[in-house]
Amino acid sequence: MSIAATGQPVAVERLSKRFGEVVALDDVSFEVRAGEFLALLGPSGSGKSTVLMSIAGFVRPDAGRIRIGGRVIDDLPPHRRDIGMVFQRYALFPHLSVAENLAYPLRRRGIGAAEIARRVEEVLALVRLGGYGARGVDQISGGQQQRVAIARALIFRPAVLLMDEPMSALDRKLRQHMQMELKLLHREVGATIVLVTHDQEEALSMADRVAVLDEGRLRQIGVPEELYREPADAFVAGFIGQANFLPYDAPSARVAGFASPLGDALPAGGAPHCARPAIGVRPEDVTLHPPETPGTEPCRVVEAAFGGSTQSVLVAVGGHRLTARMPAGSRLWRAGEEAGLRFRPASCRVFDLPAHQPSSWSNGDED
Amino acid sequence: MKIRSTRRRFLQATALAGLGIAAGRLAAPAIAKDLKGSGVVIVHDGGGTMGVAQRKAYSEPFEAETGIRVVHQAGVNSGVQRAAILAGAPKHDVANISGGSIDGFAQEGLLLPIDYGWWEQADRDGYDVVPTGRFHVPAMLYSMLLAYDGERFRARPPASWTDLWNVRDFPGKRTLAAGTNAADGCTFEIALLADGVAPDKLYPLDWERAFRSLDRLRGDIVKWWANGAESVQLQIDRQAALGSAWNGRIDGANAQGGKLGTSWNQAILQWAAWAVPKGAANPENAMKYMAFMSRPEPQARFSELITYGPTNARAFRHLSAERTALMPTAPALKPLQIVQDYAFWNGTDASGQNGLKRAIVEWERWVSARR
Amino acid sequence: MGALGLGQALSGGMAGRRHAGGGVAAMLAPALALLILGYAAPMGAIAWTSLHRGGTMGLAAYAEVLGSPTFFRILGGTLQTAAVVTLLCVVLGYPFAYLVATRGRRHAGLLLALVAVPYLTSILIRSYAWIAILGGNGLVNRTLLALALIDEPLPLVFNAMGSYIGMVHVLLPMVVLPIYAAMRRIDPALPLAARNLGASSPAVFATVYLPLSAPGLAAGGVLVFLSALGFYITPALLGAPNDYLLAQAIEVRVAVLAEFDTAAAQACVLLALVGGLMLLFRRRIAGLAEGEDIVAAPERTRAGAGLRRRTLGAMLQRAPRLRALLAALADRMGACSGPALWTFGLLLLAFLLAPIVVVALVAFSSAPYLAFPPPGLSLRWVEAFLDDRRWLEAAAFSLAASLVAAATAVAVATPLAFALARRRFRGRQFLWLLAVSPMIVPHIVIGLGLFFTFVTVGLNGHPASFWIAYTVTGIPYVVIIMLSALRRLDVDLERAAASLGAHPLATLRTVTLPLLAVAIVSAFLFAFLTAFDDLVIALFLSSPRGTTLAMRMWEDIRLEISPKTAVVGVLEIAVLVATMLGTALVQRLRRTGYRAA
Ligand SMILES: Nc1ncnc2c1ncn2[C@@H]1O[C@H](COP(=O)(O)OP(=O)(O)OP(=O)(O)O)[C@@H](O)[C@H]1O
Ligand SMILES: [Mg+2]
Repeated sequence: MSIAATGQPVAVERLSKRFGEVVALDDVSFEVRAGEFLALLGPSGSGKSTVLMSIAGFVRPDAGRIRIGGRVIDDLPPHRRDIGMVFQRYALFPHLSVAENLAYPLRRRGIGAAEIARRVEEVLALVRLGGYGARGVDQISGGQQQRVAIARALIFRPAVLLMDEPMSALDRKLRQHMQMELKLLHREVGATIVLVTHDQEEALSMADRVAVLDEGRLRQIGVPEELYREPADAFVAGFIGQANFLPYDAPSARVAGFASPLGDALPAGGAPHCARPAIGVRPEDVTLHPPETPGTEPCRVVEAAFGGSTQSVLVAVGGHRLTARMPAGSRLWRAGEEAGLRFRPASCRVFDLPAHQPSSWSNGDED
Repeated sequence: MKIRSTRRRFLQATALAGLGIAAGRLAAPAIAKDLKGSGVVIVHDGGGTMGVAQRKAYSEPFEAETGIRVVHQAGVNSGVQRAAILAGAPKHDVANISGGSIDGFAQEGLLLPIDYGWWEQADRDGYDVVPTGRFHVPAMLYSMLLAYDGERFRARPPASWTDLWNVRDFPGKRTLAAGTNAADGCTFEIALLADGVAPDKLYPLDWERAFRSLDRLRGDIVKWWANGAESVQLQIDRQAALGSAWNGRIDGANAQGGKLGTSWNQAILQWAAWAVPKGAANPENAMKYMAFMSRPEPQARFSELITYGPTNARAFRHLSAERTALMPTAPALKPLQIVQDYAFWNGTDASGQNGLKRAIVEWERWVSARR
Repeated sequence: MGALGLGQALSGGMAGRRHAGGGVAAMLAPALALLILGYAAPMGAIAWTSLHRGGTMGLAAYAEVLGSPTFFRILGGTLQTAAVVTLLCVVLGYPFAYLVATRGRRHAGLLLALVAVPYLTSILIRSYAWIAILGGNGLVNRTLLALALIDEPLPLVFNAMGSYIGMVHVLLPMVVLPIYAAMRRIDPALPLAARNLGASSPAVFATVYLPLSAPGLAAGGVLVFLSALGFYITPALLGAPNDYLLAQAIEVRVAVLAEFDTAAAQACVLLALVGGLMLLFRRRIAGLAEGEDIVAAPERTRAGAGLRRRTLGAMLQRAPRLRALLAALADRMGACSGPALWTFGLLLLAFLLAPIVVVALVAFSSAPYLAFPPPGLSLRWVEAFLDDRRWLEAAAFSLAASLVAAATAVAVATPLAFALARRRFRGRQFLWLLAVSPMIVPHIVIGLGLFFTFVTVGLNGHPASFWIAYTVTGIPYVVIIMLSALRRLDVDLERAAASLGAHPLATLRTVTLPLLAVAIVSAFLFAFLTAFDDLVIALFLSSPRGTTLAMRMWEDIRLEISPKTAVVGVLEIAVLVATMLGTALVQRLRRTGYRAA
């Protein structure tokens, strides 16, 4: 496919940026490998867009540098960076038709009319919008607009493609559909992609690797499984997937208020020293058993929800609450029942809780 | 085509003019004043029919005779003219300034003395109604008349300013010049005359009495007119049944089918003057142009074209009897009128203000007092 | 810093902070140079004049002005008139803009052009047309008398009503355009969202539509208020016998008394007062970027944050009566069904266009003088106009001077508006005030100051003096209109262009300017018409090398109002219609061109 470009590696080195009092980026470094699909994930205001805008050249960082293909691009104006960008609200030119929007970057590069026409047709076909070229951009649907925005960012075969929450405006179904298409497209065009999102599901399902930002700092970067299995800190653990946090009493090696010690639930090597130690455990690593089962902590079911293939159970134990998730095939639990609780071996990790977090919490709800 | 031939004529004229000057130097003119010269003179243009009359009566024959090209430049109000002279860049070589303002210009040294050496003494003597001055030459005479709806008041026409105030016998809305026109509008004179002040006791104007008189008419005024066109348009449109208006405006309207009646009784005779501003670019040509305009033939020609009275009485010899009857200075009309006293208007009173300033300050106070 | 710097500086999306300083300077320099030569220096001359009497420096003129109760009465009356006119314009213009923005979108261009048409006829002929319609013998009264609905003609003109009608008629476009622009910016989903959240239709209007359109309302209101302050010919021709406004007092002092010091002092007092008011309310009226350069902050959050600061809501909290009034208004408006709104809109258009119809009929009148209705139709006045070489020359000169000046005003004031809207630099507010204040100062004062300045710098009598003067009178319109348009422009579009490889100048050419095209055209039109209709400044600048059509018309009109002046009005409208058709055609061609591509 002629749309294919050779992806270039992107290196972000020690980037810092403040807006007045607000520290938007604080010493952020990461690398994106050539042709890789990286998701930038983080809560609102964490600095994701600022990273993207810095790469694209719309924000001039206070410190740090950015390389593309090994070359420092800090002094390159945006229009000479050869970076495709899909804006959050698409930024399609309202005074131009779909085809004109697509032709725009080619015109800027002085490409001949015939070649432009050919490539516009080609890319329209790629995003399955053949025949829509003559439409005004306000005469197509939201999903189609998004595809035009992506096509426009791809048509000039940029080595790097940046996308700022391109799917936030789409409904859930269309979003899932577009996520699949984008993944396919990535494979076809081969560009390096940086996708900004605050939707962890989107990040995990689409990206080769995910970088987690919080308050302007890079918390962790890695493949999705790694972030899920081995979160670097409580923030990542809580932000990616679900987790229960319980205060940890280091001397007795047990959860504060628990009768029995954690035993093999803790990974080998024990807990590092920290100020506010807490254990974090995923709901699927919590199992429930009939009351009085040996090696279990006595607890009471507060709420149980049937979810098709799984059931989620909220239990009260030792003055805390936590969520357990089990296959629905096993026994179904009901509110008010007594039970025994156990953690799977090596499933608990010890984190140092930030001061502002309660010592015990669970982000039990979806999303 | 036209333009080109004009230009050729102009070139020939200037060539001749050069010779003329040389000849003039050799033999100083004794009787027939030789006005030949070269270059241009920029003169005030009154616009509309007035501008046409000026060109036909004065400028075209002047160009033909002297070879000096006349450039007509749109007229400006006296404030602009004064600013221009103060800045050293007057708008015209021959300016037209209303009689009410001319003394102020002269007192401030903004004008050049008129060079009467180019004139025939007889012509100078012919300025009988308003004599020539050191810094100005009366340009035209016109009169502020009582005008009224000729059809409505056919049976018993109003005959004096007092009738204008008589709402019972002459019903209908009135219009007078806004007081901001000061001397030019004549409203204060009219108000006093209507109140019974004898013409020879008119000046100095009794401001208080004038405003008391105006107070009585205030409710019947549909509008204080701001310019000459408005004064007659209000009557033609029948917004007003009676009012004051200039004789030239009334004649103009009636010539186009208007049916306005007039009364010359106690009409206020006014005049405007020609003057040469200090700093004028072509002062000598300006003096020549002024001398040319003083001659009876061009003056008669001018009065044929527009009903502004000749200022040189010798011009009447060249005017038909019917035409003469229309002039404000026609022998039959002259005695009915009151010549506006510009010395009063330019003089300073006890308050330290001249008449113009006083009129406007008092008018503003009066008009804004009751909103 | 070359073209690149300028282009970069213009497109707000660029990071180029390093270049910003030079960029801002390049953006400001041309406008600043013209404003200094054509406005600041003349106003300096005026201020100097106001401080001198009889050759000695002092405050005599101010003492005279400020010591006169009459002056304050006139000033008060002027402010009151301007306020009433502003209120009327807002009350009439808001629903109309609402109609155009919501129900009439398809015909928006046409509707807005029709609103602007009154602007196109010379003030004198327009006023005459109103007299022909409203006078005792006018159309309205004659119709009502004929229908036996009244026994006596109604007093519709030569009273306060006449002057309000005349002023509202001309000033309405100034309030409709900015309000419409603000309304177009409102996300159509927002009213739906409010509806969905349980707001009744009047409540949607009061809580969503009104606050969101408030910036446009404020900008329009200010434009009208400022312009109304400088009016005096219309009230003098149509108003009550006792109407007397400040601009007239200043005019009389210059034109009749040639008393420049008190005229200058009065103008300075007015300028100080209005300038102070504007600085006080600049947040609401200026549309200047507050605080930060526009960079990463997403549009919606910025809009949200800005909203809180600017909402009428905050004001309303403090003014319960106003709130009640607005709520009542909202009730009416919200409940207004389509047909009612359309009826209102069409009536308003009829009001705006009626005098134009009169003017057009008069222009083709066969009568030897101005009469309405005309006894017959003929081309005699068109011919009279076309046969008069002096008028044609003046028309050509006016056209050239106004076109060049309007183009210059757009060219220099657009970058200025960009800088004001997108850059943060010291003295921004002052610069904004400087650029819009030529609207406040009566033109006779500007003319006087300009004349003194031009004589000093040796430009007196040079046609370039008209160019500078009319550029300066056009700049306020361009700045106000472009600022409001720039607030609507999504910076992401320019960023998108850059990311797609467009050089800053290419971005400017292919994205920014096309998106601002409508605003630029309307700014150009306003600047052009102000210049073309000017009479007062021309009086000062006139010379054998430069006499404008308005001066010729005035010359004529002083003596008699002839249908020839109506011909000029018709020609102006013809030019406008041609321009509009041309623009529409070009747009269509381009559009179809794209389609074909
Ligand atoms: N132009 C600006 N001026 C001031 N502060 C800014 C600006 N742009 C961003 N910020 C601040 O910098 C921080 C990071 O902003 P950024 O837009 O990068 O967040 P984000 O991660 O993209 O958030 P979201 O998911 O809501 O889009 C925020 O606190 C934001 O308020
Ligand atoms: Mg963001």
